[in-house]
Amino acid sequence: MEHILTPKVEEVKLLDRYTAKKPAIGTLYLTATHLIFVETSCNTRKETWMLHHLIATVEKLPLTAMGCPLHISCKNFHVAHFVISSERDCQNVHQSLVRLSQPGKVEELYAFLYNPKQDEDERRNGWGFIDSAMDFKRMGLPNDFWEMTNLNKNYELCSTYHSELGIPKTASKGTVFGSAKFRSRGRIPTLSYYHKESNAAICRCSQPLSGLSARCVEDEEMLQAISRANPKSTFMYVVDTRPKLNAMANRAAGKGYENEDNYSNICFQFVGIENIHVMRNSLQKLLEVCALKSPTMSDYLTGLENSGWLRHIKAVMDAGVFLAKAVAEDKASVLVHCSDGWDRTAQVCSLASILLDPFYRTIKGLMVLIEKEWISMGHKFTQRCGHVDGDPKEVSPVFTQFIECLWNLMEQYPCGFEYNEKYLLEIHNHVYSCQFGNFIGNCQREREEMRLYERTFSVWPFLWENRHQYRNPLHKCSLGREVLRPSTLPLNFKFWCGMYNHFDKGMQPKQSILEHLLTITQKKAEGEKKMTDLQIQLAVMDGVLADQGSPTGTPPEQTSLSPVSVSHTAENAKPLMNGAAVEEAEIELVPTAGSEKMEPVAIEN
Amino acid sequence: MEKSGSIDSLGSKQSSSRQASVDSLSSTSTSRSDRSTHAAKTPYAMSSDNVSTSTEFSPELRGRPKAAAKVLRDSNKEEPQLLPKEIVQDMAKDVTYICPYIGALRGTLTVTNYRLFFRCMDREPAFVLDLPLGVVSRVEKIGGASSRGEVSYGLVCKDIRNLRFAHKQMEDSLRKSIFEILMKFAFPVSNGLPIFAFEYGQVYPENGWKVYDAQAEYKRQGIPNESWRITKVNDHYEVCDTYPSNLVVPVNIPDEELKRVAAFRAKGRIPVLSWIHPESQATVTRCSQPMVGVNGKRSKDDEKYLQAIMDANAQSHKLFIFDARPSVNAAANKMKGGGYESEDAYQNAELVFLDIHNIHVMRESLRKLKEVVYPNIEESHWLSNLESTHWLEHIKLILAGALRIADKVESGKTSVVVHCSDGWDRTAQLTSLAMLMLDGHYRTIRGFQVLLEKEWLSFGHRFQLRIGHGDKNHTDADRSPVFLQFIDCVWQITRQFPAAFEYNEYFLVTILDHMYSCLFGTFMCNSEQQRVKEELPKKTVSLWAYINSQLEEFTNPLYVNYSNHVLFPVVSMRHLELWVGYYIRWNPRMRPQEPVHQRYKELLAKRAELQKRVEELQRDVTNRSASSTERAGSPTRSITPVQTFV
Repeated sequence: MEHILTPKVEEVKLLDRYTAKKPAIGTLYLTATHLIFVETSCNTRKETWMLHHLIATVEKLPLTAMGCPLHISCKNFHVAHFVISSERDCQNVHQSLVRLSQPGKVEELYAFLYNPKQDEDERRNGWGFIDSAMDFKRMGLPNDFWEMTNLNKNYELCSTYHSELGIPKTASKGTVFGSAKFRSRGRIPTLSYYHKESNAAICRCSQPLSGLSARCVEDEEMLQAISRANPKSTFMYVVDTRPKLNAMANRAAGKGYENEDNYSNICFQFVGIENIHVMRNSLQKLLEVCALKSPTMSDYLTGLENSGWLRHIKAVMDAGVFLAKAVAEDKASVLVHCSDGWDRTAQVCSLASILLDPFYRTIKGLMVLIEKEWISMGHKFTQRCGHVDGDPKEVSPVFTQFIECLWNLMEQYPCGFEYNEKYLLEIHNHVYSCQFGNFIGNCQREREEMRLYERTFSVWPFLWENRHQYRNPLHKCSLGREVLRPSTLPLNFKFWCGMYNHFDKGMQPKQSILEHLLTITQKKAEGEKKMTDLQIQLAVMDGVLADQGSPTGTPPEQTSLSPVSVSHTAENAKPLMNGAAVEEAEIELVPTAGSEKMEPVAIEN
Repeated sequence: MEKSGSIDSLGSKQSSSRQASVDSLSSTSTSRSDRSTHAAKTPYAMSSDNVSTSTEFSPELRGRPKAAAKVLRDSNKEEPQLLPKEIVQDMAKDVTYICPYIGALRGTLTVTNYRLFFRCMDREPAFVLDLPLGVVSRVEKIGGASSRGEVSYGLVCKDIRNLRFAHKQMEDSLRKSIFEILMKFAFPVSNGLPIFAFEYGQVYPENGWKVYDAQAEYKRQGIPNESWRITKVNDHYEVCDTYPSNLVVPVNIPDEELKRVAAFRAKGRIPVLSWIHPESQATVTRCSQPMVGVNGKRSKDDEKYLQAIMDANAQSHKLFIFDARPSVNAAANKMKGGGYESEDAYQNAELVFLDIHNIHVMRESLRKLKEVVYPNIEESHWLSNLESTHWLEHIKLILAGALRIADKVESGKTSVVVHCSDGWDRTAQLTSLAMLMLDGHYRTIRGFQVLLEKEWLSFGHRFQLRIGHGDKNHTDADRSPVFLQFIDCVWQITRQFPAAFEYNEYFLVTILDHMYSCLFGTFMCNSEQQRVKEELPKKTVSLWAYINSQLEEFTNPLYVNYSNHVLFPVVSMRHLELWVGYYIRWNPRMRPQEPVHQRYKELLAKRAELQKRVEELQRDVTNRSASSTERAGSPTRSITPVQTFV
């Protein structure tokens, strides 16, 4: 609290960042956790909440006639342009926010304050809700070829890996430890996904310390063991997700990539995904294009292209498709790495898992996947998301890219996923907001050291409870068994308005099919209830009439009606005519005097 | 990356289902066939499709050709399903089709008076290419004889694709090459042959020519009323030969004056009403440019006339004149005697230029677009290549212009006059789009047909010239994708309001496909006068007859009747996208992954089922309680007390 210099500023203007619409006027409150803007200029109470930890940048601009502008942009791409009449107030708010948005240590994060009024049992159960070990069981482990080991139980083998690792049965302890010495940060090849149907596996690791000529017998044995765990295939792929040039540069530093001559029967492949720095800069450029007020066609399209963002998304997707194809069609195992194996490798392995396995296309499955490939395998959330004040060069939108790839997939397979866009946005939001403990820390060991499981709550049960909101009404289980083979033509990758303009209401499409269908789903529930009520009502009447022996009684089939009709309604449906009227009210179709109409005028002038 | 096998089977699947739909007359369109195929199969089970199964998708309305068997000697499998009056003209074996996606395919080529039909039997399933000759814009012989003595022919098509064939040089030089025959029937107008639409005699349950009745449409709008009347002055197309016979003009302007106004407007296209707001009485009127010329000529009659249009709307004391052209072009037109309304001459009128470019710019833009999207898309510079075509920029300007018109009428309650040069291209785009935004009726399937019949066909958009039906002169400067742009704009609006339109994407694609196919009479000729003269309604079938015979295919399952809403689409760049489903539909990699359309239908069918059940039950409850009250009133009163809920 000591950082809050001015807890409340009145007469603050909130501008629309795209149009010259009249600004909203209200009061700005600064609390220990949030910045809150309460609009006073409209009749209905409208509040805008911004969590301090979500704020990426706060910028105070030079004084203007209107007042002192304060530009805030958040990690979830919420952008707010305030104008505060007094420069001093603005200065204070600015100073407070700069401090509050950059906590010095992890303990200051919101998760350590947040208490959803659960007792310890509930907290413990919550943390146990998603268990990545269970997922390996689901894949059929242990089996004849693979087993789960606890060789890393004290994090001695690899400090950034999970304590339990899937490795080939034939790999001896010596092989594993020897291989760890030859891999950057000891991140040995370990199982990521096992494809039951083909016996092929996706494994992940970090780059080998091969330098210009170094070899390691154990590492070669390790790869051989992985290869042999898939007896039907004569070879395995080794995929380096980096551009070849980057990988070569690493050789000079004593790292590098596998030499095909040293490893038996490997097929080595680069897939050319750029590093975290390129991605960070690319996002910056994308956001600049996104911030253009009324771009011309040419500004927009060339800006979008020059940002490179969509090209990078495509590169990640291409790599995921390559992996899935290798496993499903060539029935060959794949070993994936980048430099450290916690950024690009996580993206590519998790994407391939989604393409291969319909389980990960379910609400719970995605939780498991993120827990398994990202959290437990040591994606450095604290650093990549910039949760605490630290090296800005470690920040990079790696996870955002994964979520965006997923969205692009959902666009191509509208019926293939149990979850909808909202779910992705909600997860993305939680990754950055730190309201829950899941995405704090850089690896499993750090989380244990921080005692996160005792001090914070898990996000998964919370999302699960609200799962009805995240359901895709179009989801069709029957499509489930398919391996997805998305098209990766560049025109399939579009600017994600739902993510980057999520908080700019005027930029959202007026009618959303998802909202429309969710309303229908809701109406279905009401309709079912109404039907049950009516049936009870009828049954009561019938009972009475039957007692009277009335000849006008219900036909006999009436009694069998109820179970039949219930099964009819098991899927989404919408009852009642008046439902349409309700929907109409919900979908904003009415002439709006707002931003949309200003647009063409602006162009003409 | 793509395995040739999958493209292969896909290609043939598309075409095989297209072949099936020959029966259903939609031979050029794949989207529906794709959809129905997908409906039956899971997305990746494509190789299992084969020709025999595809027939199940052909609707009941088929004209089984009887003549076909007589004409053809060979196995039935290599022949297309012929339409009534369709006659095979030539057939050649060992023709190679060089498919940009699969590679060279050897097969049999058949040319009829309606279509080109290529079938390759070497592949399993067979590969079929089936396109109406109307789609062909140009046939060119490429290069000389190759080493194998083959000649190569390129077909440039109007629907964003090119086809290449190769076949052996005829040894018998007297015999005409099949491509010469093809050229003859692809360009019947240039060769003194009838367009196939005049031969085709399919009978449909509905006469599509009756869809649009000008008087009925004006009546729907509440016209005539105290300010507007329907004049018969153009009954014989004497005042304006490119206008319809029914014209709506201000009540207080007598016919004689109309003729004098006509003298001051290019081609006599006087300002007439297109649409009237049911509440504010603000109107959308359309015309051609005034004949101002370099000397700034004025016409008292024209000025009085526009004043009358303004006066007909009591809500506003202003009139907006939207000139669709860029101001430079409008000014340049003065040299040719045209121009625009000066604000001195037209008091209370405000002139706005909408900066939409002319037909030549649009033609060039589409040509570039085709280069960028067909056959393959360059991976690295997709967005900047798209940008360089300016296609979306043009779409944006048209939509923005229509939006301003709709906004003036709806929010400003002000009447507008729209014109360009002749008032049959950009003006048609603008008025029809504005009307689509303003009036929910035009967002129904039948309403849209009325809109096209009215704003495009009856007001003389020159389809014959703009498309060049049956004409071999492919470089004709009168050709331009004006109507395609309009449909593209409609598609953009449907994307933003997915529940506000009764029709779906397939409906829009079908209209475009049959605009080129020359199977129906709808888009023949340049004006109503010509259509009457050619007796099109008598001699040809209307596209609407075909469409209205299978409405289910064209219905948007998400449609909710928002008839009283005005749609204001966002025309920012972020919300406009390239219509991939049309421009890139020939690329097998753009095939939709999932039949989402089908899924909507399923969900809505379930909804309807539940709705029905609830209604039934409700009726039961009402009946039951009614009958029990009856009983309550009847002599058996003693029962009543028992009826209270126990």
